[in-house]
Amino acid sequence: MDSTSTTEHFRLVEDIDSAALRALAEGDPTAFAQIVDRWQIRLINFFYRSTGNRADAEDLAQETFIELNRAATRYQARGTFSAFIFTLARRRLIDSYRKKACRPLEYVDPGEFLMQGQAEATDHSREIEEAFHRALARLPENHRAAILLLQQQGLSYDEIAQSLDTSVSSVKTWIHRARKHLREALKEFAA
Amino acid sequence: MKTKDPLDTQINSLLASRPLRPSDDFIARVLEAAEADAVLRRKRSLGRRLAFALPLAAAFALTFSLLQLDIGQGAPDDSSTALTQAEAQELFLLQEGLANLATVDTTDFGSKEMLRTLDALYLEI
Repeated sequence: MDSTSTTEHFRLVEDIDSAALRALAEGDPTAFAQIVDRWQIRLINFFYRSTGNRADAEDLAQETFIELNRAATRYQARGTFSAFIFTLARRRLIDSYRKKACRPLEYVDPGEFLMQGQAEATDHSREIEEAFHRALARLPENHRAAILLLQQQGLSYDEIAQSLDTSVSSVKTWIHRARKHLREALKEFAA
Repeated sequence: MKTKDPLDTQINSLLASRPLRPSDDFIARVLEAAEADAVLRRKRSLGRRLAFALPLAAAFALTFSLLQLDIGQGAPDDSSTALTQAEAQELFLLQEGLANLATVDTTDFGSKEMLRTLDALYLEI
């Protein structure tokens, strides 16, 4: 799937989800399950890359879905559904950082990667993955969120700016700095 | 981001990856938690309504009872002001007696006449 078709795919999914959210607000009990089913992998992995912990990632994803359920009646499709759900997701993430009062990603369990279907990965790729996790952990939260929303979630700069409640130029700066930091941290793994 | 730099390609690949699969029961847990949250919100909403409604109802009840009390005092019952037949008769006789007292039908109006009139009045009352 190239980037154009990926973007088109996201747009289609967004339309379906906006409609599902409207159906949920109108009392359709199946609409919520459909949204959870479609978004669980995206949200869990966004949180996983932000916290480095499966349990936290699932808890935060669950809280985001509950928040979405609450917000269904007041949802107005002014922006995209992606921007909306990641606005909620980032709020949950920031709340969790405040609660823990410590930096995220302090602990990454390498064994967790093995349990997640990566048992076949070579030592080298595991090493890169762990270095990548550490490098992500050292990024400021807004830089990390910006680059994940762009590269992992396929959001546009406008959508990222909306989700992070900032300007597009700030988003571009944050992504540039994040990429520079990651390049520096992973330069020893350059092929 | 399209790039030919191998490191950038590798970083993009790592960033785009979604290594975690949700737990098997994740959807069920979310739906259950959402339902519990909805129930809790309904209870809180009812609690908030009651928190407003109860003092309001008490205020209405108090106002109503005070109004009733005020009406009771301001408009006395007819039965309390109605004269009994005996009282009306007594008043009539008193009026007649006084009228007789005021009527002087003799120029010789001495102390004896006066006493007789008062006696009559006294007896009648």
